[in-house]
Amino acid sequence: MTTSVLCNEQLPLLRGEGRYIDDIQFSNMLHVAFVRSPYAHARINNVDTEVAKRQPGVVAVLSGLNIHADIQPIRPLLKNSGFQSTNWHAIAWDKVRYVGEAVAVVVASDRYIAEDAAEHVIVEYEPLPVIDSAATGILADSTRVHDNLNSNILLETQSGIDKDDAAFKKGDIKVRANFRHPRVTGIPIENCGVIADYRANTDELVVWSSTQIPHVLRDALCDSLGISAHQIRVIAPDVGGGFGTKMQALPEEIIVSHLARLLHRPIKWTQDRMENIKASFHARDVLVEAELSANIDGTIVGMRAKAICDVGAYNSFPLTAGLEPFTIGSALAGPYDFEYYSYEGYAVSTNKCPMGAYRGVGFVLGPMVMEGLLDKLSQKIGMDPALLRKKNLAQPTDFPFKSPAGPIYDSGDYPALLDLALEESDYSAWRNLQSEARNEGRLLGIGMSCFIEMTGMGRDTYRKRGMVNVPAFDAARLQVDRHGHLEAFISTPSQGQGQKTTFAQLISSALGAPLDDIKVHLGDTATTPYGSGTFASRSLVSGGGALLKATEMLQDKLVRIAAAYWQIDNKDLQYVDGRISNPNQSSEHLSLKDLADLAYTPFQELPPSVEPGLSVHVSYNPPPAVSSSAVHMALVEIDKNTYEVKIKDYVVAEDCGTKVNQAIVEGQVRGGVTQGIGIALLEELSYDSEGQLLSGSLMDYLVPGIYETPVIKIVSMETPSPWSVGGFKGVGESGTIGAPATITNAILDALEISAQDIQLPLTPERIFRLKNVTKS
Amino acid sequence: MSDNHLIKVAINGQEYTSSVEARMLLSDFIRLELGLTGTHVGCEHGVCGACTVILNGRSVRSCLMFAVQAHRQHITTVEGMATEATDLHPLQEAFREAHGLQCGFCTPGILMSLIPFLDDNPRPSEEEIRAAISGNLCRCTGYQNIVTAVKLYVERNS
Repeated sequence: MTTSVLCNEQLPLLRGEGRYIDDIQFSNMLHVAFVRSPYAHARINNVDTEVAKRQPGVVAVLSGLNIHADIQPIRPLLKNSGFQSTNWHAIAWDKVRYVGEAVAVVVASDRYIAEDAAEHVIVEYEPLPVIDSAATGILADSTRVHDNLNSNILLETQSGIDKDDAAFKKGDIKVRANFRHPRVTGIPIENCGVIADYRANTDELVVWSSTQIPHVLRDALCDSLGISAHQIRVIAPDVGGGFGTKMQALPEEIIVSHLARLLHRPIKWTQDRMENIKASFHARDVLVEAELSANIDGTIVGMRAKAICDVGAYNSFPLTAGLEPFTIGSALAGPYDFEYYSYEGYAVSTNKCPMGAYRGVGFVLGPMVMEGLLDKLSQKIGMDPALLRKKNLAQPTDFPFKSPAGPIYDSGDYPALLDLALEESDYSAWRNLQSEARNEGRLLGIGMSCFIEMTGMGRDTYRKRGMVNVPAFDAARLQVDRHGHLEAFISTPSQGQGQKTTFAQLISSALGAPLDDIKVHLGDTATTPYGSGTFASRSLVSGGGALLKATEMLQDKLVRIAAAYWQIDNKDLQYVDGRISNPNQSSEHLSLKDLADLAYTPFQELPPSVEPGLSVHVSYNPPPAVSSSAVHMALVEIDKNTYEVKIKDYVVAEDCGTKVNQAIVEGQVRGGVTQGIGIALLEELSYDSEGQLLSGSLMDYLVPGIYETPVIKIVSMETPSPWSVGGFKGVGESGTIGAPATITNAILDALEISAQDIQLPLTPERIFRLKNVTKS
Repeated sequence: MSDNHLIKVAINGQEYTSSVEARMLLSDFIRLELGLTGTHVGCEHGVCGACTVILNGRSVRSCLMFAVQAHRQHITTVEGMATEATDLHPLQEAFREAHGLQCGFCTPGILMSLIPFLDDNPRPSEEEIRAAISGNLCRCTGYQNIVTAVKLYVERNS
C-alpha cells in the first residue's frame, strides 16, 4: 500500500479556499481582546473596567472578579501520589502567576476596537517575589507559586532498581554530563483561535477551535462551564499546524465559550503571534543530569539520570505537568540493551507560561542524553561511535524487548537501521572528509543518533501514569450509503498531516473501493465518534487501527447480507476486491453497490440477525505503545570565524512499521527534522530574573527558514508491528526527536570535545564558549 | 473619531471601492472587508510571510501595509492564480504533486512570493529558488518539497 497517493484535501488549501478559524465569519459576530498581566507574579488588588466599557463599540468588559465564580478552574487530574494539582482560572482574579496571564477580557464589535479598549482597563497589581527557574523553585524554602501547595514540585517520579547503585558501580568507566533543553514552543504558522456560538433553539454551544483534541476539549468545557457534553459541539476546521501546542485546553477557549452563552452572540478570538509566543503553551525547559557506566570494551552497564522540568505556573489539561518527567523516564534508555537504570524526574512550577506538549515530548531528551554520553564514552575508550552503538543496540531477536527504562518495545531491527544510515551517508567517506578538513584547520563534525519513539499509546500507558483525562482510545464509524459510496468518521483530526488521504487509502485498499467513492470526516464532535484526538503520533495507529477494524466488521456484515441473498452459508463467502462471488454460480457476484442496495431497500428480506443499513462503529484501544525507530546522521561545518553552523548533509534511516503513504511519511520526517534543527541551533524562549519574556516575537524567537534547513535524505525500512492493527507505528515526532542530538553531537565532534554541560540551542556564542572554555 | 478614506483597489482583476479606516491593515482589508481569506495572517510583524500578496507585480507583506496605501494599485492574491475557480495554476499543481504543503497555512504566501520571482526568472537555479522563499516560514514541510515543486514547475514550463 506504500504509494504516494496525492492528497485531495490539499486542493482547497492550494486555491486559498481553506477554512481556518479566522476565515469563519458571522454577520453578528463579536470579537475579543484580552488584557494580560505584565507581571510574572503579583496580587491583583483591583481591576477597573469602567473607562473601557464606555468606549464606542464595546459590548462588555469582564475581569476575573466578575466571572471566576461562574467558571470552574482548569484542574486536570493525575492519579499519582507524587502529584499536586493546581487551580488555573481562565481569567486570573486574585493573583497572576506568569507574564501574559489573562486578567480581563473586552468584547467589542471588532478586534481593533477591542484592543483599543483593553488599553483602558486599569489593573492594580502588587508585585510578589518571582520564581524564575526550576533550580530556585525546587528548593525547600522557595517562595510558592501556589500558596496552598506544600512545595513547587507538581510531580515527582522515580523508576529503576538497585537503589544502592551497586550494579551501576560495577562498570569500569563512568561518563557524565548535563543536558539542557531550552524552553521552546511549536510556532504553527496559524496561531490558535476559537469561535463560540450559543444556539438557543437547540440549547447548543457550538465551538470552532484550532484544537487537536475536539472530544477532549469538549470534556474540558463541560468541566469548566458546568454543562453537559450534549450541550456542546466542538468543531476543528482546517487547522494550520499543531505540533502538540494545540492539544491543551486554552483558557481563551473557555472564556469565549462562556461569553457566547452570556451574550447570545457568536464570539471570536484569534490569537496574535505575541500572545502565541508569550501566553500559549510552552514546552520542555528541562535539565537532565545523567551518568553512564560502561565496561572498557564499550558495553553499557547502566545509566542513572535526574530530570528537572520547569513546567511554568499551572498544570495544563489534559496531560498535566507530568508529561515531560514521565516520558523522559521512559525514553532515556532508547534502543539500547543494558542492565541497570535508575531515574528520578521532577516537574517544578515557576512563574512562567504553563507547559504543554510539543512534538517529541520527553523522547527528544532520550537521544540528547544517551547519544551525548555515548559519544563521550567513545572518545574515552577510543572506539568508533558507530561501533560503540552497534555493540549496545538491542538485537532483532530480542523482541518483545524490555527496555531497561521499563517499557516493552514491540519490534524493530536497530542494527540494520544503523547500517542503512551508515551506508546512505557513506560514513567512512565522511570521516575522510573530516580528516582532510582538520588538516586544513576547518571544523567539520559528524553526529549520529539511534533512537526509538513510543507511539500511539493506549490506555495501559496512560493508566500507569495516572493521566486519567486522556481517554487513550480512538474510534471510527464507517458507513456505506445506498449507492455504495463510503463515508468514514474518525476521532483523530488533521492539523495538516494528510489523514483524510491516508484513511481513504486504508478504506480503498481494504474494501476495493475507488478513492473517489470515499469521503473522510474529521474534527467534529457531532459527527465523529468519541476518541482522544491527534497527538503523540497516534492518528494512524489509533484512529487508523479503529478504521481498519471497522472495515473488517463491515466486510463481515456484507458477507452475511450476501449469504442471506443467496441462501447459502456465510463460511463459503468472502469479500474480495470490492465484491462477493457466489461459490455455486461463478458468474454471479454482488458488488458493494449491490450489497448496499440490499442493505437499504426493503425489496429483499434480510434475516433477523442482519440489521438493515450499512454502518459500523469501532472503538479501539491501541497497544501500550508501538515503537518506531530511526537513525539520524549529520555532517556539519562550523565557520571558524563566525561560529555559524552549516549542516552540509543530513541522513535519516527510519522504520515506522507498515506505511500507507510514503510522501506523507517523508513529509512528517522532514518537517520534524526541521523543527529539531530549530531546537538545536535557534529556538529559545528566554526569561529574565523578573519573569519577563525576552524573546516574544519571531524576530527574537527564531525558527528555521530555508537557509537553516538542509536537504534531508531519507531511507526506509518496514518492520510491521506485531501488536498494532495493520502493523502501523507512528511517525509524527520522530524527525524532531533525533535532530537535536545528532546536530549537537556533530558540533561537539567538530570541536573535538565531548559533552559536559550542554545548553541548547547551540548559538554561535555558545559554540564559541564551548570551544574556548571547555577545551582549556 | 472616524478617520475613513475612500479607496479603490483592483484585486484579481476586479475593482473594489471601499471606505476604510486609515489604520486598517491591507491584510485585514483583503480578508475581512473583501472576504478573500486565502491570504493568511501568521505574525503581523513581517517575519512569516503568510500574508504575502502581489502588489503591482511585486511580492509584499500585506500585514506591513495599510489598506489606504493600496489605493489605485493592482493586487493579486492566491484566489487570482488559476484562470478558473476550479482549476489549479500549474505552480499549484506542482505543489500538489510534489507534496509541497501539509497544513497549507503558509502556502498562499509562498505562492505569492514565487509568482513574481518566476516571472522575472523563469529558469532559476536551486539556489535562486531557495533565495526566493527565504522570506517565508513553513513549519510543516522542511521546505524541501517546496523546492522540488518549483523545480517541477520550471521543468514543465521550459
